[in-house]
Amino acid sequence: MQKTNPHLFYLQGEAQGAPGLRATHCESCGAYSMPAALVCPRCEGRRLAPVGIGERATLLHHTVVLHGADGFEAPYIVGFVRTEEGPTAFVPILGKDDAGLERGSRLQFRTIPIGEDRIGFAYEREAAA
Amino acid sequence: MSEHNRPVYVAGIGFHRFGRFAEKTLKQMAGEAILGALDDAGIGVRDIDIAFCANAYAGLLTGQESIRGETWLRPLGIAGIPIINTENACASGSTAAHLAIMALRGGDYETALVVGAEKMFVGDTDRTIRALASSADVEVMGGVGLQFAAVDAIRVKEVMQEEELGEDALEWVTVKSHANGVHNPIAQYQKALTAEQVRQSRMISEPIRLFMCSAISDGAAAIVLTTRKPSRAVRIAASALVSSPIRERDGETSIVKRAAERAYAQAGLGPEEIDFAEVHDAVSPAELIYYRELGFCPPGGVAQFVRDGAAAIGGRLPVNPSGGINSRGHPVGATGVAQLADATKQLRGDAGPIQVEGARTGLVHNAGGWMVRDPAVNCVHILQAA
Repeated sequence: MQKTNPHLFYLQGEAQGAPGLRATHCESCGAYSMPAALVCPRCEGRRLAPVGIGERATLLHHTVVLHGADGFEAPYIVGFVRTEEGPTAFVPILGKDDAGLERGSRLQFRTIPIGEDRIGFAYEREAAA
Repeated sequence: MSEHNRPVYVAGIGFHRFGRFAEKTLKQMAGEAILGALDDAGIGVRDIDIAFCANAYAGLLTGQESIRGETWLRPLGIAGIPIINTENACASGSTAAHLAIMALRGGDYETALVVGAEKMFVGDTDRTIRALASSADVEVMGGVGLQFAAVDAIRVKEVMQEEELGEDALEWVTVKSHANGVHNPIAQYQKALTAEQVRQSRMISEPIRLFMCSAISDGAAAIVLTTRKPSRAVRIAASALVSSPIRERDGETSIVKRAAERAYAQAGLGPEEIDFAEVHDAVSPAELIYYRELGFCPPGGVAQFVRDGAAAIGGRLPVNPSGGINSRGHPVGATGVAQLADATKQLRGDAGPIQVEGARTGLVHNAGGWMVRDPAVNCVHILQAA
């Protein structure tokens, strides 16, 4: 399966913590970096391991986009989220209706088949416990 | 930058009007702006010692990937000097000016040409939108439905929440800028809008509506900078450029605030001494973010700043008296140069119906691209009537 953006996310088994967003973890100070870094922005350490992060994330802000782009049919939702590991990211959120979606909403990462041979990802609202 | 550097002045400004010019080439538009600036400065093509040429998308939109400036300047007879091409997304123009100011302050050159030009109408809107999207890290932003309208929408929602702003503030700033744009001879949209018209325009990415977005545009602008004090002199009091910080390491201060702080320190003045500002309103409500980040009002004070009409002409600190990018149009590489040229008009007292009375000090803010949590680059210039 071809990923929509191979630089941005890992599938199950591709890295520790996967599936999730493609990041690095500093072996010296433990900081996570996304986008993936070559030098740790916190301690300047250079031993960084690839890792998937953001299996869970918290919504900070979102917008409903009414003009299609980048292969996405409008309306669709883009969110700005904070991953549970710390880094923030702009991500697609499943669905066309943002009812109930608010600052602090708990989200989870999932992969999504696109057509017959591609795979993408999005966040969806975490199922109620 | 030390005060021992040589002073730099704006000696001339020139434009090719912003809009849709299907029959015009980049060379023709750049040429018209350059000759206008040379005539305004009262100099000839052989008086230029170095040239900086700004453009963002010619490689993708016209195929002219390299030596863009050389191709613009040769037909004018500007040759045999250093010609430097700059690309820094929507801040390409102010980046070119920043480099020119460095070259002049350093003492190796006396007179520099700064020109920005862009041709975005190429008969294929999707191609133009894809070119715009390349002003972010394509590895990180590709394939997730991100477009600048969505990023801007989220930034605006953030400031709406933090500053308790309603949609009426977004409409107010749009109406204010378009009222100014009516009187800017280079503006693509010289048409006033009502709040009702803004409210009725199509939603692009909520809360951003169509009339809040800058248009695809063709156009060019040029300025001549010199270390020789010209008549009706406008002096460059500060030129500060900051690329996006790593907030986790460098702190939460926004890139806009970082660039502004450097510019104020360089000019030896503060926001209370700014008489007017041109800011990067690629979507008009972004201006609301800049009131606070440039220090025009305190955090928590944006709603009051809007209620007071402070940013309107006649207000305490007029912002975008030119009509801003929202009215002027946004031929990306030309924008930063046009902002400086429009600010120069104000400081010379030549702005006609949109003249800010008694304008002595102006701030110009130009932003470009996107990296992680901030625009990729912010450039702040402060200009003063000398």
